[in-house]
Amino acid sequence: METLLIHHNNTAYISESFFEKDYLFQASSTKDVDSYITEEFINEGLLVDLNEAELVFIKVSLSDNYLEYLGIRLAYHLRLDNRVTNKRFAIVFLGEESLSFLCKTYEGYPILLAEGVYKIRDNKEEITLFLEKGSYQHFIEKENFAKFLDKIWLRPPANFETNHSIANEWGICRLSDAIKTDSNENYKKLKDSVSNLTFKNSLYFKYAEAKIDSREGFNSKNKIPINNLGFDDLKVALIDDEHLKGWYSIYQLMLDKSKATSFPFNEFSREHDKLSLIKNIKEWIEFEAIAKYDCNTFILDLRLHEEDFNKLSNDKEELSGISIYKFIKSLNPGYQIVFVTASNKIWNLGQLEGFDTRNYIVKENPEFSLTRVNTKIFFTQFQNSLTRCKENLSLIEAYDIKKRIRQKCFLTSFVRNADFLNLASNRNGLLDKIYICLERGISDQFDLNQALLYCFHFLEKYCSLNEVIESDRKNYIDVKNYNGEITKVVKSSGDLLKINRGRFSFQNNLAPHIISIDKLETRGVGSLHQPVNSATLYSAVLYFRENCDKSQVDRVLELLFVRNNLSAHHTGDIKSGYVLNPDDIMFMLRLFDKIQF
Amino acid sequence: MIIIDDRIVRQKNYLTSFDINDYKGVVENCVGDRFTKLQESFKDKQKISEVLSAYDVVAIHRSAFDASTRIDIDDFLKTTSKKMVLFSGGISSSSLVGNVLNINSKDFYSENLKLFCEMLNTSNHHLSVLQFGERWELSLILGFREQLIMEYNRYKEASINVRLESVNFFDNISGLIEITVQSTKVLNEADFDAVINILNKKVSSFLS
Repeated sequence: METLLIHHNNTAYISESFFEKDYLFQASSTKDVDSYITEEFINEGLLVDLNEAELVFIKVSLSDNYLEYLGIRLAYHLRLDNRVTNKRFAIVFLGEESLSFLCKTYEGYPILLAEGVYKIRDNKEEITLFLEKGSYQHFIEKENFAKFLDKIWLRPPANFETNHSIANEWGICRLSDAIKTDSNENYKKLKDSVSNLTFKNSLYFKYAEAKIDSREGFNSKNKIPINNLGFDDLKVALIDDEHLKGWYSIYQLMLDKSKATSFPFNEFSREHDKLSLIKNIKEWIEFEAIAKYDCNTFILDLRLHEEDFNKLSNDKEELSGISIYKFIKSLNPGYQIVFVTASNKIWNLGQLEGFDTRNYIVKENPEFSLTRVNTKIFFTQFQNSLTRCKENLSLIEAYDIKKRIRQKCFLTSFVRNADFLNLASNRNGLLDKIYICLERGISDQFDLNQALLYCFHFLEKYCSLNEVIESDRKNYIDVKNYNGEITKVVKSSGDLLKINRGRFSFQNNLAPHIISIDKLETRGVGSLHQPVNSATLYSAVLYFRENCDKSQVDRVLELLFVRNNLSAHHTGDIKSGYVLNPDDIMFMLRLFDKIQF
Repeated sequence: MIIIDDRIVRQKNYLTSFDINDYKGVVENCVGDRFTKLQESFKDKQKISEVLSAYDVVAIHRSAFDASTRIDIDDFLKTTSKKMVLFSGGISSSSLVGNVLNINSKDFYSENLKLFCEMLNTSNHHLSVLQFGERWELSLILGFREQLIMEYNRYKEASINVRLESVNFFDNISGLIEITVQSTKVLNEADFDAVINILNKKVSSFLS
């Protein structure tokens, strides 16, 4: 049998033979007591001795300040630290106080009531009797550990932003532990950052880890590999005030591996008040992230300044992350934003119009997560959010086009048709509707079909403007170009267009349709197009006013067929597997962008 | 006492039940602009000792200063016997080692600080007041009792002569508790029993 004594030079029996080994506990003035225990006291020598130990005697007090009860705190560490592989030893506290006194004066008392723990007075008679009787029980990990964990509770370090801080440190420790070793430089940076976190030394961390590990193991076999998910198009701005704890490293690891580029904001300073910080971030976003690095996606923390935690502040005051979100969206609502935050108060987002709540990722928090699965969920959510961002990137361009067309309409006096202006470019006009459908419908056929209808509505209205077509549009087409010159495209003496009929690959019926129209250099046969149909009208305008090439005109004709037989009416003339995609709508928008009004 | 904190918000958040400025006569509250000025002046190492020498107790947020200034402050404190309080949000359990108390920010900015400020004008401003509030005396008495019992055990084992005045922490409790046995007297078994009894009664009184 091996018996150890852990003391603070505060017992008369250090040299007595009934203690085979003794360890002096001497906390450091320069570090937190949990860090002293983890980094210095539980050293290799002690671990070897604990492995052999049957009984570990610990003085209730291990400092000059009795009520700290560091002996009891140390006992928690010995039970919970995963480096102590043999937890079989019984713990015997030595102290003058009764059990009930300790329970009344120390909130960490539950360990005193746990299996394999005893409390006797620090005198020779009681120690000898305890050893001679030998009626103590060992701590059987398999049987007792879960019960022990249920019996005890340990609070995180008191802190005004407790949940936030704990989740930030806990979350990064867990993620760092969960991922597979990687040669990427950010993996090393992540590990370095995490190793500097004293939170890992805390009793609370060991407790929370033990609670999870007792339910579900996590070994090298099921570590998570970080794979290439093909985010080449993503240029990501990172804005998280907890970046020094390793959050940027983990974002950058995942983004790097998926071939995305990332640009971190590092200028967090405690000297900044909230407004100055927000101002600096906004300037960085506008003039660096967007203007210089062409960022299209933002990973944003919800609370970027300590005042966000100020319970005394006006509740209506915006969180800094919300303020930044609104600013980014004011520049272009197409920019993609993912919130990664320690706050689970998702109602903060109620005021954010159009925010996809799936892009709100809560950092893992020991108070809510009790299994390793939660760690994996973070990766899945992060990857899914970025996948959605990638799919939605075209919204940035769509918004720019919409804005340009609106500006062109506003600046020019060319289009005098108020109805067209209202319909096409004003608020809630066709362009707004197309954008909204695109925003909602990246993966939704209903919205994409609706967007296509709006696109052709726009084209139809444009092609009916007197500034574009001079003729009656029923029998003849006279297209006016930007210099005011008129080209008689369709006239009785011959047309400047040649129609090709055939079948689209996605067409169901056998009847031939217009599948392409060529622009002719010399006038062909006349009156073939009378009465003029929309395919001919659009082709004439696109060729002779907008200078489009054949591939563009033919794609318009293809989409016109889809519009007529799928978006507007289910005629059954289109094969069932056919799907529209956002590129089709973007093609139409780019076409409209060419219009100079 | 001087309190040095780089974040005024932290103090505002915690100190809700009393106003630290009510203790202006005994506490220099160095936050906000005052902190900024101090931070600037501490770039000159000489200024650190000039400023801090004027105080009996120095309380500093652990990461208020950059690493280099922190080292300079540590160097100065090593040369003095000043009471030092290091507070930070990351400290899980307070511990007093020598004259240095490591304590969580929230625990530091609590009612215990008020009590400590009130005691600053007396000789009894033990740092343990910041940890345990009204129970600071109990902690000292328990510590002394443990030392006395250790001496008693040694006495029983080897008949070692012990006087109360030579027992560790006797100075701590001498003003707190009336002990009928003379401190200069060599203790016999009955004396030990008598003093331990007094201490036990005092300890019990804290919980009643």
